[in-house]
Order: sequence, then C-alpha cells, then structure tokens
Amino acid sequence: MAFDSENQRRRADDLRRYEQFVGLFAQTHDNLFAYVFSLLPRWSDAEDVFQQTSLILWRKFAEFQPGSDFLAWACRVAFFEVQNFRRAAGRQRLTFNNELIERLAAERDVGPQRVSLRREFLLECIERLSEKQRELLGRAYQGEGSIRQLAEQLKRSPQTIYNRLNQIRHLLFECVEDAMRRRRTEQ
Amino acid sequence: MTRLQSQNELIELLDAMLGGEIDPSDHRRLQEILAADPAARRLYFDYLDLHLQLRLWQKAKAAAASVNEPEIRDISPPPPLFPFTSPLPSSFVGGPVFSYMVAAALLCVMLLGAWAYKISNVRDQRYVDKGRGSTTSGSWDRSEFVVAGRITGLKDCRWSDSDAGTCVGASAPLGREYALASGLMEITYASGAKVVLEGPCAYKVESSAGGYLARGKLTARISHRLSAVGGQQSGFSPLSSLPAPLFAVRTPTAIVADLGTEFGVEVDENGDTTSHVFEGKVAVKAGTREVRLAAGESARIEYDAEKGVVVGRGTAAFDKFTRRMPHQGPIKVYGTGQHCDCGVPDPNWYIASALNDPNFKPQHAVTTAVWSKAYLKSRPERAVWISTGNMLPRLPDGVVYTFRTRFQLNGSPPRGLELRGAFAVDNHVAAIRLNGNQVAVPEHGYDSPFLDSHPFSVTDGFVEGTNVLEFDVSNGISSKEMKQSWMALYVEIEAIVRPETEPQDASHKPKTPSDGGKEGAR
Repeated sequence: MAFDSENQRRRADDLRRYEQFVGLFAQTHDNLFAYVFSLLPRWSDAEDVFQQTSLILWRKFAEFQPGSDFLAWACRVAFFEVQNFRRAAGRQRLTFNNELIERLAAERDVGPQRVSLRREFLLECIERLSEKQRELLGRAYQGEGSIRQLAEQLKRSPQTIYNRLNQIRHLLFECVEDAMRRRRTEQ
Repeated sequence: MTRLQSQNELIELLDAMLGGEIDPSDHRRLQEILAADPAARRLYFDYLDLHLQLRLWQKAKAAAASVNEPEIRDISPPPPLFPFTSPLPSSFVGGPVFSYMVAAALLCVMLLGAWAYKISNVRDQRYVDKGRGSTTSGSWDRSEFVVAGRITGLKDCRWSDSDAGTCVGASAPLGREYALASGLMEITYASGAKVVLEGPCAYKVESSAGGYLARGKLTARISHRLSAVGGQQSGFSPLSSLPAPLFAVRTPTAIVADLGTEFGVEVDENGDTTSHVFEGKVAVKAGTREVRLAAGESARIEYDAEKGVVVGRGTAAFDKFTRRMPHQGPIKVYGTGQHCDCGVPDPNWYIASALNDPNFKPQHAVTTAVWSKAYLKSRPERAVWISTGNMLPRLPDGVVYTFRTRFQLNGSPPRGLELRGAFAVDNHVAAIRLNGNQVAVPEHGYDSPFLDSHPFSVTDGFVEGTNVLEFDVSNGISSKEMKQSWMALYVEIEAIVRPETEPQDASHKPKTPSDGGKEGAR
C-alpha cells in the first residue's frame, strides 16, 4: 500500500520537524522575547509581535538552515515584524524612530550566555535580599492584587510599599551590574 | 549634569515608558539620550532585562509552588503548540498591579532624589556627642552623592531601624548610617579597607577612608598592599592631623587611626572607647593626647568630668571581635557543562592555555557530544563533556590544555569545606590545582574507552574571594602515527561543608557526587 506508506512518511517528517522546531523554540523563547521587548518596550505590543513572530517562524521553518543559529534567524524575523507593527500602529503609539530601532537591534545582545549570566546573578542577588524583601518582591510581581491591597495586607501605607519596592529594584539592579563588572574583571 | 543624575533621569524615563505613561516630550528626551549615548543604551537593555527577569523569577516561583502542591493534579494531554504565549502573564501588564508599580517607580525616583538632596545638604552637620563633643567630623565637602564603598557581607542582620535594610552589593554612600541590632555586616571601601560591624552597633560612613562608630564593635582591616604603599587616600582631609593614616574610626571620645593593617574598636554605652590592635599599628587620639599602639596592645579611652581624658593600656582581646565575615549561603561550583546542552559555550569553564600549541587562544570551553560506547555518559544535571568545540574536534597530540573554573567564597572559608568530585578524561589529567596548589590526582590511564570516573577531593587551599580550580589535560597517547586526536574533560563537582564531627582520618574516602553524597548544599 504505497499510498499509506507515503502518508506515514509525511506524518513522520512533520512530527520530526515539529519536534525540532519546538526544541529550538523552547531554548530561545525567553531570549527572543527579550529582543522584541527591547525594540517595543510596551508590554502588550511586545506580546503581540512576539506571538506573530512565533507563527511566522513556524511557517517559515523550512527556510531555516539546520545547524545555523536559530536565535539569530528568529531575531531577524522578529525585527521585520517589529517594523510592520510600527507601520501599522502609525501615530497611535509612541515608538522609537527608525534609526534608533536599527541601532538597538544591532546592539542588542540576547545571546544565551549573557542572558543566563544575568539571570544567574539576579537569582543570587535575590537570595541576598532579606526574607521580607523577597516576599514583598514576590507578592508585588504576582499580580494577585493592587499595591494598595498589598499595603493593606501588610498594614503599611501604599507609599511605604512603593518606596520599598523601588529600593529593592535599585538594589537588585546595582547588585547585578556589580556582579557583571566583577565577572568581566575576572576574565 | 553628573553621570549619576543622567542615570537617574534615564531610569525615571524608562519607568514612565514601561508603564505606558510617558508623555511625548519625555519620549523625545528618552530617544535623544538613547541615540546619543552607547552607555545609556546598555543601561536601557539591562534595565529592561531586570524587569523581564523579575517576572520570570516570579513565574518560576509560582510554578514551583504549584508543583509542590499536595493535591492530586489533573493529568491532561499537553496543550497545543499554538498560540504561543509570552514568557509572562499578560494580565500583569496593564493591570492594576503594573500601574501601581509604575507609579511606585516614579514615586521612588522622586524619593531617591529627595534622599540624595538630603545627603547633599548635610555638609554643615556636626556630630556633637551629648555631654562630650570631643570629636568632630571635620568640614569636608559633601556636596554631591558619593559612594564610599559597598556592602560586601551580611549575616543574620537585624536592624534597629526597620527601614534600614540593605543587601550585599549595595552601595555605601557618604552619610549613610547603619544601625545594627544584631548580626554582622561588612563594608568594603573603595580604597580596599574592610570594616566588619558587629551588632548591636551604630556606624556612619563619614568619608572615603573612615566612619563614625557611635556604639558597639567593629573591626577594620586594610590590606598589606595598601599599607606598604603608604599613600594618602584622597578625601581623607578630616583626619589630616594624624600621620598619613589609611583608615580611621571616630568615636564619641577618640579617633582611632590605622597606621597599617588591622584593629578593633569598641564603644560602650557611656561612649568610652577601647581599641585593640591585631596587626600593625594604630594611633589613638583623644583630645590633645595621642597614644600609639602596636599589635597585641589595646587602649581604653575614658572621659572623666574631673580628670578629663583617661587612658588605660592593656593587651588586645583577639577573640572579642569577629575579624572576618564567614562565607554565607551555598557555594556555587559547577561541573563541566552543567545544565548546558551540547554545542554551547560553557559559561563556567574556560580553557586558559594550551602548552605546546602556539596557535591556541584562551576561550570558553564548549560542551560536546560524545560516543556513548567510548565515553562516560554526560548527565547535564551534573556535568557534560567539554572540549574546544562540539563533536569532539581533533586536536594536536602532546598538547596540555588547562581547563579552569572559578567559584566565590564571600567570606572566610567555612570549617570542613570540601570540594568533592569525579572526572573522566580523554586522554589524561596531568594535574589538578586549587589556587595554584596541587591536588592529589587519582590513578587513571590514557587509553579509551573513557567510561570510568575518578573521584577526587580538595580539602584545603581555599581563599576568601575568588577561588580557581584548574585541570591540566594532556592530549594524545603513545601512538606515533597519530598527530591529532580527540580531547575532552568531564568533571562532576560539588562543594560541601562537613559537619565538625565527621572524621577526617586517612581511611576517609571521598564520596563522589555520583554516590549521592548530599550532606552539603550547592
């Protein structure tokens, strides 16, 4: 039954391609989002473009050269999607001008090593926070309620919570930067 | 405009932009800054990454918490591939929490500005101790926000002021006060001087080379290198009457100035000061009197209403002070290629040199695929084989490659610290070194198959700060025909702290990570 075996072969090929794509995409998912977010630093816009880019990557996956850099290819696709989005959004959005977008795209390093290093350092820095600071940070980023509600739960004024969150973020930013500087010095 | 002001402005603009609340003029300003300054673009990327990573961190935390939920979970088929989702919950952005956070960020930038302004206006402030007033802070210019050093260690800290918390890595600006109810805190000044505060105590960073201890205990340590140079630190003017000290602690009754290396200072509830010299010399100045102390000596300065300053001399109490911050938290040391897939640079292992290969350039090691019949199977959760590239590149025989990894001890090495590990190698580990000191290498051969792992253990030679572990791997076997061959290294490793009661006799055989030795934490 040649017809059945042909179908089976196609299905096997599709499945193999699917698995290959999912593997590559899963590895670069966060890095690609970071790239899009840096060109469109409005969360909902970045999400829209990221989703559209994901679909296009899947559709065009046949054009991808196995063994080459998937993230670089995905970023190129994402860049065009960002430009399409900017054209469609027109004056409804405050976006960066073309020259700056191109410069940011050229300078953006979302390589696994840089991203994983920063992530690792951030986790270390978070560990160094006090238990109370970590808890506050976690609850603030949980999205379960407003800062005002959080302030009520903690029996603090909203301004105190704002102040502390800001302080924690600044501490973390400084701590990660310091760790990156030390790493560069060591190497 | 100073660099700090520019940075604050940029962060303020970024917070506004991330919340979608930036107005057109500020957006133009942001665009101008980013277009003009490469450093601003780097900060822009880094700041966006921080927001992104914090959300991912919370998401991972929530996922881990859900995995730990005790109830039986519905096991459903995996969801369809599409639509893709962003790494973060979309409900967060644009939601009430996000809006509040943006408002919080803006508010806090303002608060930060107010704080900086407050600090900038304390130049005329004087510390006049109640009833004493014997020492003053001097009149140096503190017209802008200046970072004197950084917080480099915290242990079990409780703060007298509930809003006074800080974290390791945070800056220690001039004028900042630390009121410690208990615990230990280390400040490292830009000059390299280290101060360990021991709670309960109250300390203020007064200059780039000193501070004010209102009460409690501290140890100050200045590196030998700095002492040997003997250079006067910039910004040291307040204590210039003393002979070129490198660091000084002011107390209500005295000024204790370092003339080299290490000393402790204690201020009791009455404000009376005792200084102890552990290494080198100090000068203690009280009113018009000055006492010089050598290592092992101490002096107590009391203030008597009738007699004035009373100086009592004694011996230094070495055990009374915590002179080094102990290492805190897990010790992060990584196996080769740990948590990596094949074919990627290993962020933690580096090939530092290749003896006999003039063309070699130092590089990150690369995780490599190997043949399962000839090589120990990689276990990414513990280690992966590494070489100069993926798929076992052929490399010149006779070359010795030095693989290097680093790990940090953010304090004095804990007692009982041990690195336990096991390696497999193609072809041979010629030497293992920790911080340049040789480590015993177990017997092993040169020839394939490379299926066996060989345990090793390191129990001494650790140092505070960065530790360097190296493996010298020689390539090639005796066959003269072969000019190029495969070379790779596989190392599983973990740092453990042995309980004090664990025996260390000669018969003690190190457990390899594969054995499941789990006393310590990674």
